[in-house]
Amino acid sequence: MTTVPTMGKLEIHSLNTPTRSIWDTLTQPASTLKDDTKPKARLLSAVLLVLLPLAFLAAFLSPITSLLSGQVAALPSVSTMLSLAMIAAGYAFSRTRYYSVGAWLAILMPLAGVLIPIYAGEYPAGAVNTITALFFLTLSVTMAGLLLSSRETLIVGGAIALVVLTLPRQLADGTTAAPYASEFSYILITSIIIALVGRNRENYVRLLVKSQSDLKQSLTATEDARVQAEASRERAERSDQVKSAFLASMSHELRTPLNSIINFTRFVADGDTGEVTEQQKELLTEVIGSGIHLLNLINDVLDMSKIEAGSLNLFIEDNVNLDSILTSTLATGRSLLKDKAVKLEKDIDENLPLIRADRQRILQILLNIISNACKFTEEGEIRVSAKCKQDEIVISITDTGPGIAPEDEGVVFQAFKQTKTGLRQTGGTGLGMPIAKSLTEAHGGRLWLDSQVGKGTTFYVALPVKSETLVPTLA
Amino acid sequence: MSNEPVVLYVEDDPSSRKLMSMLLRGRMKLPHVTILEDSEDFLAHVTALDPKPDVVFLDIHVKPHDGFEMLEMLRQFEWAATTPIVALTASVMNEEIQKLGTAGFNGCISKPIDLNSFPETLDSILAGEVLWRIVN
Repeated sequence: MTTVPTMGKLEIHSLNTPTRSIWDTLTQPASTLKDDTKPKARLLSAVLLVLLPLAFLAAFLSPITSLLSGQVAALPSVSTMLSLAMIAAGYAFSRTRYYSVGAWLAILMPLAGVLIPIYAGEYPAGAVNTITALFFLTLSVTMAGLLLSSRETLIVGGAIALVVLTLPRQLADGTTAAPYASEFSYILITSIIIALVGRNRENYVRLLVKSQSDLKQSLTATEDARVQAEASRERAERSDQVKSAFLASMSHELRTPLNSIINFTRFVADGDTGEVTEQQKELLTEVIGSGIHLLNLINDVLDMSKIEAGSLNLFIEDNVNLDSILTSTLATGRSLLKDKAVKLEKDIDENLPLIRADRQRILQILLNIISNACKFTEEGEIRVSAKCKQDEIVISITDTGPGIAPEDEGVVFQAFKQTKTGLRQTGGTGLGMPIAKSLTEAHGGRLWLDSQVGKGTTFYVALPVKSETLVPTLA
Repeated sequence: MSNEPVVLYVEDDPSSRKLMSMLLRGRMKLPHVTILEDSEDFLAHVTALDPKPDVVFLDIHVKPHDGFEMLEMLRQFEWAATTPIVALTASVMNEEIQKLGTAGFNGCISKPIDLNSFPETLDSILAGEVLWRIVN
């Protein structure tokens, strides 16, 4: 909600002046006024502020000049003094929340200037200047039109017109003539016109105020939406953090007992605690195997969750030796093949460059592919080759297994999915290949396959030698 | 020395202690193996260690002072300035491994440990190699 105060600032100050001018300060309306009366109050203050010195001059110029020229100064008339007082009071009220009192004073002021002199007999008989009177009375109507509603303007106008109608019209010879009929109609028509113009102006002001508040509302709505989006982004981030923390602690909690299960069993199976029979050893080895399988499941599920949460961080090292990684995966592959009639061949470039990568993750990628090949190949051979091509190394693992049907190719890389052949095999989480693909891509590499049903499959892993996007973790 | 390295291990999980004892004292027959139960035990005994350890394994999630604090305390000792101090932890998230590296550990071995390759791993560590064995 940060833009709302800015909006308020824009309203109070004019758009192009950041600081308030003296004029602005002198015509500043009371803050308690309604938004749509504020411009009127400001207008009233401004008009009266201009009128004040003018009226002062008009009232005191003649006495002062008389005084200066050594004549007896005549004090200003009652009506002049009253008008001056009304202007001053009107200005004072226009600055407070009693703006309407100021408005009425401003409207009555010209009227007072005409009616009082007439009734007080300030002017010699017949001296009432029709034009002057009309000017002052029209000014009242105009002020009403500016400051009051159109209905009130009409009432004021009508009232003034009636007053004009009843004014005694004394002629120079002392006789009374017909009332000011033409002036009456003139004032009435002026008030109607001003009232009509005023109504349009009111509509315009209302529209302006409404569009301003609409704008304010839509700005607030936009801001609200932004705040909401921000909040939900923060919530998502928090839940990612909670998920990561949960995974970390789950991993820790599961690995600690597995450490005991696997290794104590191994101590017993290896004979550290005394001799065991062949049958006992076989069973204990089953326990170890299951423990390791469970460990792999935990690792795979954790990896997949991390990949899905986008929180998989690689542990990048420079100078990772791919050759030694391949050698150790081939050793694991051989132990998996056991006594199957499958040859495991390697064809690795002699001068493979050292790469920038996560050593354990590269091992995991290759182990996943090679152990799959060993699991699914019943006879023939598995050939692992690695070639350096410009700035990337392409490793291919070709088997003579059952092959993957074209419609299954996508499924191979989908989490928790196994192909029909895959399902027939025991073990495996169905996560190995999706993880391998994600890990390869996290290295800036590519993993794809090429297969013919009945002939075999080749998996390709292309890894950049030194990706600039990978930064060594402990550099 | 390298034939019979002096080993210090701090671990609050009894099973893990028993396991490492069977491995280091039983299987590998190392005569100088000290296994401490927690960080208070560590504080009570670390100054009086004799002979001084050639290698230290620290569990990380130990209370009240965790592996990082113990590492800092150890590095204050003259004898431990260059001694390999390795984290032995079940926390294998890379974020944690990264923290271990920046804190100044000389490597990390994840649980479950691999009994068969452990003697070889220990030799590498004593030879000054920094290992970050994360996945088992």
